[in-house]
Amino acid sequence: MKQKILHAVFKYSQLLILLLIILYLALTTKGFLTADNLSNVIMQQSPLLLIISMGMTLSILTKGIDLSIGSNLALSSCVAAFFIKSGNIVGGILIALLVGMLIGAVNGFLITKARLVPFITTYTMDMVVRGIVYLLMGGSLIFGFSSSFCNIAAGSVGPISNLLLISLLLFLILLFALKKTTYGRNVYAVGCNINATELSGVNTDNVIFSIYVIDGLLAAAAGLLYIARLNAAESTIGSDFTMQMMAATLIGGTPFSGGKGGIERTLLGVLIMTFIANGMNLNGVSSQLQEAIFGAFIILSLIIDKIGSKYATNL
Amino acid sequence: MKRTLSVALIAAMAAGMMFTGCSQDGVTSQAGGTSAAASAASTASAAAKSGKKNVTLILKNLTNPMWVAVRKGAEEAAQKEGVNLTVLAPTQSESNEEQISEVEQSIAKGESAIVLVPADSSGIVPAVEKANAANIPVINVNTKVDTSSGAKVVTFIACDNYTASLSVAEKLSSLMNQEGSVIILEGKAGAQSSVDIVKGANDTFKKYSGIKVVASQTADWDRSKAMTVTQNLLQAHPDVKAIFAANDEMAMGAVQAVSQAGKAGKILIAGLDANDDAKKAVDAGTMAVTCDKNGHDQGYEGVEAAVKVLNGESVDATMNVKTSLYTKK
Repeated sequence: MKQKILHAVFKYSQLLILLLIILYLALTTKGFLTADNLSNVIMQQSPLLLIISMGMTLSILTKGIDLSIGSNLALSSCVAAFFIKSGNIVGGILIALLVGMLIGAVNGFLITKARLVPFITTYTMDMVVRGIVYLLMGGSLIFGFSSSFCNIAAGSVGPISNLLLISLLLFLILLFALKKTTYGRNVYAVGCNINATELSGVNTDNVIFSIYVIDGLLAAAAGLLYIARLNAAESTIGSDFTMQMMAATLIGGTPFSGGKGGIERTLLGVLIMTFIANGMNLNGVSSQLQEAIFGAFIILSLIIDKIGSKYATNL
Repeated sequence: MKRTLSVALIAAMAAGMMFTGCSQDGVTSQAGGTSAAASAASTASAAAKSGKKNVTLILKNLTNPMWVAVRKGAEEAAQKEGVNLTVLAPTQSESNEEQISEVEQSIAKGESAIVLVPADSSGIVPAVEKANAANIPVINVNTKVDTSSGAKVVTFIACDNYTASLSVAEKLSSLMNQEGSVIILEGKAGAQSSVDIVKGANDTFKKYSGIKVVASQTADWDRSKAMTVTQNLLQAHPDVKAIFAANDEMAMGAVQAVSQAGKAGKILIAGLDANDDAKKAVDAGTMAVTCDKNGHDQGYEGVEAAVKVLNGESVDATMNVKTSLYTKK
């Protein structure tokens, strides 16, 4: 019984942290607990981070990592912007997904066939792809899309923003795939013990390859939503997303050791990050301090996780 | 034997072509980079004979339209003066370390002059001192090199951010009728240009008792971050009258946030750089004012000054490039 309670506390520690943050901000911060502010955080600011962080989480689940999501997002959205600007919205969306998928496929190929380490593969890919975006855009940007395209990000269905709907849809599809299908079990198995999984007859290369392709697709989807939201595409977008995605994954409780955690935890990580950023803005925390606070938060949540798991196993 | 001979012949021909090529128009010295050391040496001697000038321009990055404009101006001047221009910029935007090694590279390469836009006024000093020691003139553009410790620059071509910021903030204040609350969006924490611009804004707003800076938050020069930060700040300060952004990228992020909140045109938004999309926003009335820092002339004058110095002419210690406010006509 006691074990069960502690296990529950450990399992839901991120949820508890999130609730504590919300409670603290609600009590101390003017303008926090308003319908406007909450919908701002949940419907406008969290969804995009959620989409790309799910990609990061997937790669980390397989004991890999994808450091190229940020630049993939930039390239696919910038290429798409040329089409969208000329009025071809459907073509732009398709080309973005194609570019994203291709970059993911190259990552997957290098990792599974050339046997390169994911960290190095995707880190290098990040530089290559970012360089291509810089060349493509040459320091300029594409702006002023049609309102029908911008509405993809700005619009809403009833009270729920399109951004939230799209990200939740992607979340539910991935959650179903991970938790309810053989494919999902294989993803976790690859992260736990790739050799044993291979020996049990699973084509682990295919699993890993597919993960990086999905990452690419998620990056492209997020890229499209970003340019629709900002009404502009630029080469520098996403340069600092990698750290945010990793932070959301880590705070959520998916460890780098692979095979544990999941996107449902990353959802909590994303909410924690966005609420902290919101709270710091509302309280006027100085810019020098903001990064330090984020860093401290990652360490703190990792420690809580560590203590929690030790407690759970020692019982 | 025959083969060796033909290779030698071809090499000699290539070297000869380099020679004539250089003395004629002089844009091609880099073009022969693939051939042997012999031809490279001949290029160098040709350069020396014809008085060919090799100038390196070092920028903060090449991803912001502002620095692209500086490069364009510099290239035009180089074309006009027949200068070999090399343009370098850190791969990590505004990286002081990379800029230092780029200065060192230029010294090692034996460039005639360096036109420098430092990312960090004091951080770049060691590199400037090295150039001083190597007797390579440094022309300082846009952001001032800290010369208090003895580092020498030939001239400082200023459109300094502080002054530009003062003029934008002044215009914004008058549009606000000198009263109301204002939000400041800062650049990257610790970045020199951000510090200067924010100081200019604060110094201006301080003059008016009716104007209150209710929040000053960083958005990392970044459009998407600025949109998020503005959305958050509008929650805490819904009655804000104006937003001052340290560059146009952030101003445009604020424009998106404000228009999504249904307040388009009701909150005055100011930025700097006069990027194309910001100018369009000003014309459309969603943005109030931006400042053309005249990147083109900064680059152009930078290379012109380098040529003058190399010709032994004197240049003023400080030169100002004309900036202009861009408001709705």
